[in-house]
Amino acid sequence: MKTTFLLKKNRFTLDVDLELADSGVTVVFGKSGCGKTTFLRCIAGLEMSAKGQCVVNGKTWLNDSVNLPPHKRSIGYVFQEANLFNHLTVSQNIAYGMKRFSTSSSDSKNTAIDILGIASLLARYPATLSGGEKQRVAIARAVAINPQVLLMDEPLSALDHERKTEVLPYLKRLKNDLAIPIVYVTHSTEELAQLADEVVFIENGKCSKQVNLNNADTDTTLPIKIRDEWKTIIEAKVVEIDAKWHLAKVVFGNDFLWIKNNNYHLGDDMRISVSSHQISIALEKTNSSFQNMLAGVIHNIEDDKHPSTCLVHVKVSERLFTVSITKRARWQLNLSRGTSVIIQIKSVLIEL
Amino acid sequence: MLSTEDFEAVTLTLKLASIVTAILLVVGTPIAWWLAKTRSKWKSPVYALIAMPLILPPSVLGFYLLLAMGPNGPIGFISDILGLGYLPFTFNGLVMGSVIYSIPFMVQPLSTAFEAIPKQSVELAATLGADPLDRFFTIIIPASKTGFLSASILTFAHTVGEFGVVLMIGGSIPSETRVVSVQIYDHVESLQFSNAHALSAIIFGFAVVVLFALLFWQQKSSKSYRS
Repeated sequence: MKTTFLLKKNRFTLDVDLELADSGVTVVFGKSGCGKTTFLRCIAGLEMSAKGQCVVNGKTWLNDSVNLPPHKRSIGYVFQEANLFNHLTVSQNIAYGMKRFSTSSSDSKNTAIDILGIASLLARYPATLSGGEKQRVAIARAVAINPQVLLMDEPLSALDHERKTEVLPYLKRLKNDLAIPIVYVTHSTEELAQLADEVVFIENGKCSKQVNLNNADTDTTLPIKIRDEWKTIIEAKVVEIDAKWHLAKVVFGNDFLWIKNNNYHLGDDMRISVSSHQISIALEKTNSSFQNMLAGVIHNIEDDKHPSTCLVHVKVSERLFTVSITKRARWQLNLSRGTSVIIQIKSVLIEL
Repeated sequence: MLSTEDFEAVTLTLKLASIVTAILLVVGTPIAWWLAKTRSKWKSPVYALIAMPLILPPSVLGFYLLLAMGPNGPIGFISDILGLGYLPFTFNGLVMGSVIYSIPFMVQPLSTAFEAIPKQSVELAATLGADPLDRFFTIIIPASKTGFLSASILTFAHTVGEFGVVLMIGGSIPSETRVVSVQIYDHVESLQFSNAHALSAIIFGFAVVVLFALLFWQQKSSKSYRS
């Protein structure tokens, strides 16, 4: 998917030239006002004054001589607010887009209804739905037209924490069950960690970095830095549930972690993100409150922003974990490249 | 109580108000849409022009319309070419005058209703494949249903109640231009108070019904917004 845009709006300029993945979830990440939503709107054709090039699945939506209006682009768009049509039932809301796109079929409709779990809501009017249900219907409505690309603009940010945790699993199912590429705008590191296959960082209208998370084993640019914190994102599987202590054991590579059990089931696949501030380094296993002690080897050490600290990248089961420690600690422990160490992670701190 | 002439006046009034409301629905909707969405520098002048009948004394408006529709006026010139003859003291002239006189009552509520429609729901319809006309009929009109209803009721009621403009350009020709308000005036002029009473009571009842209907619908719509 080729997306090159130049758009001047008042004092703001969006200037990006990106090749996005044709499958999986591309998270467009940045602070509010950085231009990530504008970027998404450019893909949708909602910013008609944007110049540049937009080619999706071999079809040109925008170049020097073509500029298709939004209703001619095969997109599914989900806004922050569900924006359901209040005068139509859930079923009619879904039918609205399907009627106007020849790409839709009863298959695409059933898939959308299944993935988002809204079969029981079809006859209801939007006014009778909860916030989470509304957003699920809005997503199903976009998916049902079987578009070339699904564009989601902070679909969870208008929901409270409880609703977010209700809808997030549906987004994961969407990611796993759907072949359509998804471009997902967010400023939430949690959503990034859970959903992203690829991350595009936007700052001041420009792309500052593009990272493919699926190359985690080989790509040394990982862990990724998000807002002064380094995050290691790991795919893991639940292999044991400790009912007594409410913990779950998850494996990745040859290692495992104990994390808080949030209603997980055996065999669940999940993503865990561990922040550099949540890890400490020891030379040997100690008797401490840390629930997770993983043996690793220091891959490299680099300076951090503040002169007192440095970043130690430790390789554990082919994953790099980044730890932020003081230089004095590094000197006291005599850490250098190749040193075998134990990284300690508090189980309570592993975010989900 | 009502004489044949009174009945004729009532029928004529209802006919006039219906036609004027229908015309203004067609003419006023695009104007209201333009006013609600435009960023043009012409917005304020056009808005002021539309609102003019609210400020101008009906007799003044009627007087100018009378001149404009006459043999030496621009409207008269055009209507003559079109083979319609001259409009003063005809039902068509009355329709035209009423359309101009009642236009703010159609355009203002409609434009307020259009402004209240969230931009996103229209954009969303676009991403779901609806072209601009499609969006207008399937999203904008249903979303501004209450606006259309109150605009139509206000326009209808206002046309029923007008007097000054009608008298100026229509006079008082039975079955042609003698509407209820003029008929009441004629009754009073000729001291037929009982006839004036009967007709006035009808109009009074009509006004009460209209006001309650408006209140009812406005409350209903504000309730549906909250839910």
